[in-house]
Amino acid sequence: MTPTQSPIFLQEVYKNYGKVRALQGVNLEVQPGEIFGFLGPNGSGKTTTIRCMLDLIRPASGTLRVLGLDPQKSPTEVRARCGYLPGELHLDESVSVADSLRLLNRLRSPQADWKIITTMAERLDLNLKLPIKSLSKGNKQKIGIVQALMHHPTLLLMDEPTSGLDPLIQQEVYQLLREAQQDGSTVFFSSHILSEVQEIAGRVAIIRHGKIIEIAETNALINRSFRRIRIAFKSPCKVDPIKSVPGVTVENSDGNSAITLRVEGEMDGLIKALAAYPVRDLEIVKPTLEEIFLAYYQNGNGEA
Amino acid sequence: MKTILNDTLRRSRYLILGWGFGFGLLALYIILFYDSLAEQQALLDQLIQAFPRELIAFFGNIDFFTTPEGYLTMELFSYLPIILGILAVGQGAAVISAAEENGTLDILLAHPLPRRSFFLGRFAGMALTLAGIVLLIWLGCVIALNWSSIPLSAIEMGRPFLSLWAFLTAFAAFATFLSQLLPSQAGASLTAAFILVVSYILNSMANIDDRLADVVKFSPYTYFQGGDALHGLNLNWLLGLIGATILFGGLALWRFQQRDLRIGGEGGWETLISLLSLRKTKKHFLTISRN
Repeated sequence: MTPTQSPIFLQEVYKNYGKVRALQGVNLEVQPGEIFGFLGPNGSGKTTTIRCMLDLIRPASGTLRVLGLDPQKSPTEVRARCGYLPGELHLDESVSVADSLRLLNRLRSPQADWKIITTMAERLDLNLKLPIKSLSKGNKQKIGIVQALMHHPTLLLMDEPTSGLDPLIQQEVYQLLREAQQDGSTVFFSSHILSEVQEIAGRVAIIRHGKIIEIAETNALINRSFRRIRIAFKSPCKVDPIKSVPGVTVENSDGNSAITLRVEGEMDGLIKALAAYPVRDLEIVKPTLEEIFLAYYQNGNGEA
Repeated sequence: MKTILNDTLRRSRYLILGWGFGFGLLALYIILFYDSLAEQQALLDQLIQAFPRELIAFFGNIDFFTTPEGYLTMELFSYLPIILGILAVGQGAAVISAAEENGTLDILLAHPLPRRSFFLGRFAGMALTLAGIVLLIWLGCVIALNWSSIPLSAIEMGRPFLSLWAFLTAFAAFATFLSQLLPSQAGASLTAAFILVVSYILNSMANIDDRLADVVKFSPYTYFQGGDALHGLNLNWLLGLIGATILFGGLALWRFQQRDLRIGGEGGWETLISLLSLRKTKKHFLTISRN
């Protein structure tokens, strides 16, 4: 992939807010047609990265290309092909939902078919006639989702897309994103809700303190990370030799008849060590993305 | 740009009607009251002679009070620029900063809308809003002239209002420019309003102190023509105010196109500081690039 082919390409992107270093050499490449999750806690640089892509803010240095274009040189061309949902969505509260969507639609050329808007609003249970000032945070978020998707963008940039939505609507949003992907769109979304990233994203990047510390396929990230293994023995036995296997730490021990281990890296050493024990049961539990994420933050993995 | 302009005017409609009709009715009442006052000319002259000169200075030139021009200057054009000026600087500072501070700018500029078009739509909307207010006040005057002995035509009456609009728009443009330099809309409004009030006081004091004659040449208030324009506009001054509007509007647009959009406390005073220390910033960027 080259910068001109990738929907998103960032190379050594830096951004400062005064003395605060928001982005410290971000390198990132997103493939066409994928759903890409962008993970990180608040203040890690997720929103800054997305806003740089739309030329709402400008990086201090580095190369940034969106759909093969430089957002600073061709901002309107980039935005015409992107759908954007900001992390903090604010709308003119003096109008109705329909009027707000009409205004945003008029800013595009060609404009989206109003039928698409009404269909999407129905799917999200959004009443177009209501004044925006009367809406809850979740209902305002639905407007943001509709306006981001209504014109079938080539690239969707969504900052915390399911923030404030109830679980049923969240599932509908995931479905809309999958449909957008099937229609050929690339979806890039930031989140700190790991379960949703795990559910829909094919690949993820983890950002910490303005640096990308991991980019991987979601499943690969889960598979290659640590495993939690619960072993029950037929009879109590000494487990000290197991503890000394490289990469193995004991998380929990029920006397000498059951043990819960955390294994990092290859399993080979542990399996060979267990061959000498009367094992009654063995259960391997893959960590959730949440646990992997926490491990990155607690251990400082990937710190440059 | 047209969509943004329409949206701006839609949101300003109550402001135009409220301020326009409010001051339009006041202007109508003031003009209708002129004939009653003119009948008491001798008494009024005595009354005014009794006022301290320093007080009268704030209402313009006392010598002409009992003429229609003097009456309108004192009763209308002496305070309209200062009151509407406060409104104008608020509107000017809000052209970009209001949407930026309430967070709606992000979603609008994430659409294929050039910053220039957004700015021009909002800026033109602001200028037309001020024009709408001034137009309604002028309309109140023109209606009242039908029942008044003041010998002025609608066009003659329109001249000071044209000057008033140019003066208000120039100050609003100045506030817009300040809003692109200072970290908040409130800061820009307050700074522009302070300069407006100082300018008003300076010009008022110049009516009684000739030593200020050279100083007031630099005061924007000097170039508001008020009652003096009823029988002829100084076109140079009018074009000067329009030129100031274009200059400050252009500078504000340039700055808006250069800078980051703020959300959640980004920017702040660093925006101004970075402008004042460009050399330092360039050095910093070069260091990053080399690394």
